[in-house]
Amino acid sequence: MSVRWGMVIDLDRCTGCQACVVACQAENNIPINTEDIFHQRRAIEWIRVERYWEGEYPNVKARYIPIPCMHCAQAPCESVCPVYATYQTTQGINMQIYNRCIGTRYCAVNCPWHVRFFNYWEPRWPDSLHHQLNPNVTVRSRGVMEKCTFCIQRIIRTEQAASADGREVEDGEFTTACAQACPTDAIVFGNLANSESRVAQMAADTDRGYQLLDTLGTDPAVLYLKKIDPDASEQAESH
Amino acid sequence: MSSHGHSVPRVWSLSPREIATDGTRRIRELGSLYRLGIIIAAVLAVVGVISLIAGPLLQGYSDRSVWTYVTAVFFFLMSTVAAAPCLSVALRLARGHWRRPVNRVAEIWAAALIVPAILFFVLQGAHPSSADRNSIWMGWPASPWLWSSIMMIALVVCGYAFLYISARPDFAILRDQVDSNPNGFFARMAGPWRGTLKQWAVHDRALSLVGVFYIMLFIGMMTIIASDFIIGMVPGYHSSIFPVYWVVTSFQAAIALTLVTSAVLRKFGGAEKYLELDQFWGLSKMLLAFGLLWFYFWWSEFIITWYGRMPYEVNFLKFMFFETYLWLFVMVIGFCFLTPLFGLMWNFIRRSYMGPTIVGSLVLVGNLADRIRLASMGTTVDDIYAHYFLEVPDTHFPGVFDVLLTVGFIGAAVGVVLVAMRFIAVPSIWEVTGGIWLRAQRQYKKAEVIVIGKPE
Amino acid sequence: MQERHSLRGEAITKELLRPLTQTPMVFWIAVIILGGVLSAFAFAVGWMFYWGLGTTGLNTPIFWGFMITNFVFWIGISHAGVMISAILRLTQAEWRRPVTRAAEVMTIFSLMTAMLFPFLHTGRPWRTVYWVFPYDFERGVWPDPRGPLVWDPAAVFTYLTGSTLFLYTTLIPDMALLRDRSTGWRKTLYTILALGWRGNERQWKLQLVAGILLSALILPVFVSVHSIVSWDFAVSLIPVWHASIFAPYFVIGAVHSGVSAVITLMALMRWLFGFHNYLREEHFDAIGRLLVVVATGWIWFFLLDIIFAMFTRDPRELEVMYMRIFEWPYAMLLAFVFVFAYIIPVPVWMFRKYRRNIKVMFWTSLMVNVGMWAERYWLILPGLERKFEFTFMWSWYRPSIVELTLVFGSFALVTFLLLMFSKIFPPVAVWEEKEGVNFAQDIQVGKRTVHATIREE
Repeated sequence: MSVRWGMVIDLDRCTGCQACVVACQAENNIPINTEDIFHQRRAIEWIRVERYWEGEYPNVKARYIPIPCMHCAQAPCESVCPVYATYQTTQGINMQIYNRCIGTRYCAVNCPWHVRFFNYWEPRWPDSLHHQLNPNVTVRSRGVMEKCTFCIQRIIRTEQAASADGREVEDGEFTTACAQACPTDAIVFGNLANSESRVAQMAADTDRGYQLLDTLGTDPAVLYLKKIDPDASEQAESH
Repeated sequence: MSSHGHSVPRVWSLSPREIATDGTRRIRELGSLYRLGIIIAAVLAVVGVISLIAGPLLQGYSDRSVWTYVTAVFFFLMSTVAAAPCLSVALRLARGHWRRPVNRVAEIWAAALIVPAILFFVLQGAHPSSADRNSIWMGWPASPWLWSSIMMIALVVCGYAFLYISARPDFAILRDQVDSNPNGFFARMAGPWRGTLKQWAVHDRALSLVGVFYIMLFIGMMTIIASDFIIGMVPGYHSSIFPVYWVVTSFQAAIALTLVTSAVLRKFGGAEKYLELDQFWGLSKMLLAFGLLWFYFWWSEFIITWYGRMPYEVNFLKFMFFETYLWLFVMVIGFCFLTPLFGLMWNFIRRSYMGPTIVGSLVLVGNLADRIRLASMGTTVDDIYAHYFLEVPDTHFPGVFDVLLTVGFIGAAVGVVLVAMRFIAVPSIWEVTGGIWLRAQRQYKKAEVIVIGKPE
Repeated sequence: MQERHSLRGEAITKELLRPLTQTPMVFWIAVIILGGVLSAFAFAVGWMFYWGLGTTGLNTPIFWGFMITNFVFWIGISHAGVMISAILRLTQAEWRRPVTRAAEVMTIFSLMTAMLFPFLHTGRPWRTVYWVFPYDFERGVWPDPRGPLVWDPAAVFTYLTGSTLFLYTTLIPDMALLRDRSTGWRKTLYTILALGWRGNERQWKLQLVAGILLSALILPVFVSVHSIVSWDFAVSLIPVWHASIFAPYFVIGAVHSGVSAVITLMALMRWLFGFHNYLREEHFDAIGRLLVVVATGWIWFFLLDIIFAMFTRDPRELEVMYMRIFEWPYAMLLAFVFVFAYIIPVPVWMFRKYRRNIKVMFWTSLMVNVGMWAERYWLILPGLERKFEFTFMWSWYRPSIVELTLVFGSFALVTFLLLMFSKIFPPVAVWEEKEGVNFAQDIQVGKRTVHATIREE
């Protein structure tokens, strides 16, 4: 069965609680983003929640949009890497090989979504957190790029378990850390190539779907669902 | 310094008197071949005007695609006729010695500037206002019509001024040697020219100033044309290199035109003593360089668009190069790049008469094809107000009037130049004579060398 | 009117070889100062290697900053050598003779310095050495030829090889000259470098043909190098970078800054070595005229780039354009670029009087390069600060002290290498100068005597 991992994010459900960010941080051994790091503007967030405002005071609404890596089928970051440190897997994941990365940062420069991060410093955790690190995920050294992997360690573990049992991976058998942590079930992860899967059906059935920066033609694997707010769009037109 | 064993060009062994006699020949007598040339050109010009009226003008300005070939022939004349004087200016500024007989051959084409100018004003009707669309005018009042027209008039005036200043010492020679009537044409044109030191100093100054000004106007005008007729008319096409490509390919066509004109003048115009291997060699080296530049500017545009892979960019790549106008484009790349490259990379071909002439003619054909391609692109996209097009438009094919009109107006330009040669010496008498003064053949140690004077 | 000096063989040799034997006080002072800056440079490099790129001012999403700007700048300077020697050699411009050597050496040293920067700016430089060169064929792991960062080293190293060969070809006759006039280790060195040059007719002919061939072959490389550097930026999707004009625009900007740097160098050499008889006013005059044309071409490209970015009315392009034209600090920088690289120097160069004034030429050429450094910064940074509409990721950039040291160090490095070169190799080509003197002739036109030269074929 062909596989293309993908994600549907329902923005009408998103409350901006940032649980996905925290879950991702814990799952993927991302160094702690201290206040100092934020001031240096070097925070690493494989998934981040952007907030924007719709409408004008007093009718203003806060909107949130979680942005993980789009895992583009035609990714602009891949072709510019001189050492093949980033490439497309057969399952449609845009993968980063830390060991091969030399840190030219060209991939990050050419990523329109800003979802690639550079390790400016050697990552450090407080002593109390050393036993918290996920043993299935590489701890990156300074000088390499890193990014969302769609929790590749979970994918591999499930696939191995399935192949040991001699069966296919079932839809919903596992999910990514962000999707798992989402209290409103706004993030759904699965195989887009399997028309039976929940993501594929959500993507097919909706009339609310759009992709971020789709005019660039990179074919992202992340689809957003958002009902157009008639109030907001009216207001936008009147300006 | 061995001179590669080449024979010394004949031109530099002529006496000033012989040069004057040769230069004034066409002015003293009207040859039958020359007369025939003018008649053919006149017939073509009439055919061109008739098909312009019967074709596009009768159909009016509502459908822009009717005007495709008027635009194409305008483009072609701008990149040959109007660019040729720039070559003359550039060669003068670079102070090459071999260029002296070539200069007039290039700048005589300024006489035909009136033809593209007429086409330009006819085309203004087909031009929508620059409001609400991509344009360098950003919706200025009366743009683009008023401002581009002013530029065009300035260009034409400057071109004629350049030709006149350059020809003035020759007019004086003609006044003194051919037509001594004090109220005759040459006397009027030469004015009080006596060839004093002061007059020459002013003349040199004026020639280079007006020349440089002409180049600047030409580049400015070509930028405007590129934007108004092509880039602004193809939604999503915002290639900032295009004006440069446009100017550079025009210079290439100008060099080719000068080469072909030189060959014709050698064959029929009695200039074989002047336009010799040295000149063909020099020009074909330049043609080779501009062939490479053609590729460079095309490639710079292509690689950026192709690497970016944005859907609308891919669409205009298809439109420009790979689907709609594929065959025209193949012709262009073959004639404007591959032919000069593989033809002129060999020194024995560069140093011949036949080779550069053939390559030059092919470059001109390639340039015409390129201009037809670009004109067709500019006139056939329906919605020019869109930000980009997602469907690639169809190919535009010419009708009978389109072909006749193209041939007719090119003929008209040639005709104007033929008539101008009745009044202006080609090659220029004063410049070739000046070259003789500054040149000597001497013995250096054991070798026979050529010594060239470098005043200033 | 050209001033003509009736110098003859031996006097030329003596004067031009003087810097090799005599060392003025200024030289030692310069060496000490430059040495100091270079130690700071070395320390900064070590510091950055040890602590990582956190020590720079870079952040997300401004991943490229001063180091890349500096890289582009030095690549630009390296375009002087070929512009001066190859093009002027092919067009037989007589005034190139005393300038060629210095320009070519500057090409080589600035290329080497330039290549240092992409290497330093990678996250793991030791890995860069390890991966970018396809040494390990056994594993079948190659660099990715689709990546512009692979085209870059390919182009630059081709250019470096070509320029070095070109320089060496023009150096051989001088090496033979030095071999015959030196003792000790110098004699050994020059004997090896002279390759058995005897100055017979065949050798001269070969040297001439090699020089012409190399200049013709190096021209496409010359154009390709800065084009490829520009494609590092232009093939990306970033608004205002993704512009097709970048390649020729960078090349002509490079020629502008490179040829200006040659003027600066000439003025310095004239002052330091006292080459008044060789680097004459007429040479400054000729280069000044060339620069007026180059600078005007550059400004045309500059304007085309701006006009056609705004032309599309694309909100992203407009956003960045607005920022870099109207907002602090880019508005200031833009004015700075315009005034320093064009508005002051070019009108000054229009006047023959100023073109022949060495002081004026020195300061204006220096000004151009300050302006051109700023231009590279102005081109590269704003696109990164805004990029796309994700407002949370908008950022700004302040270079850290480490980056500043690296930039100043690069200037010190090139100057230092040039000074060292002038102690071992003659900074003006002796044979070329002599050839020029031998070629000089006079022609009588009416009552006037006009300077003339033998035509090279």
